Amino acid sequence: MEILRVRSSLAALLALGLTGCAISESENRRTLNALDAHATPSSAAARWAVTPLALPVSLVAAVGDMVVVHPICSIDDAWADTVDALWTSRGETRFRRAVLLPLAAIATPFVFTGDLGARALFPIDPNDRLAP
Amino acid sequence: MSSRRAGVRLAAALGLALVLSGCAWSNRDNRPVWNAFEEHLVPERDAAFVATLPLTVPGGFGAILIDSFVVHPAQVVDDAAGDARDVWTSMQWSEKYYTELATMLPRAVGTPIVFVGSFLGRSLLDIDPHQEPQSPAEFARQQDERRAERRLELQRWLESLAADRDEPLSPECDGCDSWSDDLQVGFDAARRTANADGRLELYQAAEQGGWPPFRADPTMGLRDADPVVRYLVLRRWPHRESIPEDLQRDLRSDPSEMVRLLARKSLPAHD
Repeated sequence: MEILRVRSSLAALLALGLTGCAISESENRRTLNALDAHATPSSAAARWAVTPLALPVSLVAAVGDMVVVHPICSIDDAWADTVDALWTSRGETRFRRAVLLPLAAIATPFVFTGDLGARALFPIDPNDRLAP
Repeated sequence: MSSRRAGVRLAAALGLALVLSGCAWSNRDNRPVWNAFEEHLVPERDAAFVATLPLTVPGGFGAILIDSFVVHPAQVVDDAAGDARDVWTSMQWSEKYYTELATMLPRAVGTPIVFVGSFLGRSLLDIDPHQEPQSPAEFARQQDERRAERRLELQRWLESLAADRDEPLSPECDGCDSWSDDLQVGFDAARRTANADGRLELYQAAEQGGWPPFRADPTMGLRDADPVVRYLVLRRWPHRESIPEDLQRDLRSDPSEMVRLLARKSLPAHD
């Protein structure tokens, strides 16, 4: 039981560390960027003064970006990747599409989840169809 | 039994470290003890060289060991510290206050890891010394210096053309990014006094670099005094629309038959 708890804690730490990769990209730090843009004190003295409050806020914002905001924002990209990979016709015959349809249906949740996991952990460019 | 196994493991680790540090040792700058040993203690004369081999060979091995495990690692401590310092550079507190705060912990954790990794990597492998990151002001100063050097070199080239000495133009000057009055004077002088070959080079360089005199008068080469220059410029002219009608007419009735024929072919008159 103890070993299981240690292992799951280590796995959670590793996942958190890896999501740090994703938010190394500025576009993936939406909450931190919003705080930087709208809540940064203008003078150096004020910045020093609010540090005891701002430090935990920034950590919560970073973890929120890693665990909540960035994964949620990656859902549409992951879905677009899944549609591209499994549901976009590349000139196959109608028969081939019909045969592959059940396989695509089975693979969809796996591809979507894997893609979403990868996008949540690593800095991956947006899907071309959704890129501005 | 277990102490013997530990001894074997230690020897294997030391051997691996020695082999890897051979990479660092391949650079002469990384083996000061060996260099000093070879320079001062190994005799030059053949007889003495051979006679002292039983002493110098073990001494040489000792020098390798000292270089690999003591001197070179000591040399790279500063570089490793520089790499670790880089973790804390480029912080933008006034623009990214919360982001910088959030990265304090990873930076604090990462600093000793970077230091140790860099120290081991630099001790074992031949890695270039650490360089302090350039400040924007320093970067701008270097850019200005480079631009001034290029201007000076271009000025010299224009003077060499004007004086009938055809020196090669550095490829870096092709796209001269800052024109000056001095360059304009040099350009005009070269155009006036350079020989035909020099003028042709001048027109080509001005076109390739998009120099201001060319932008002001792109057809200058088609009005050159030498018919061969006019012919060669016309031959590589990209599109006729950019040549004024009166110049097209002049070229079609050029005194040189070759220019005339080429102009009539590439710039036919509109009837």
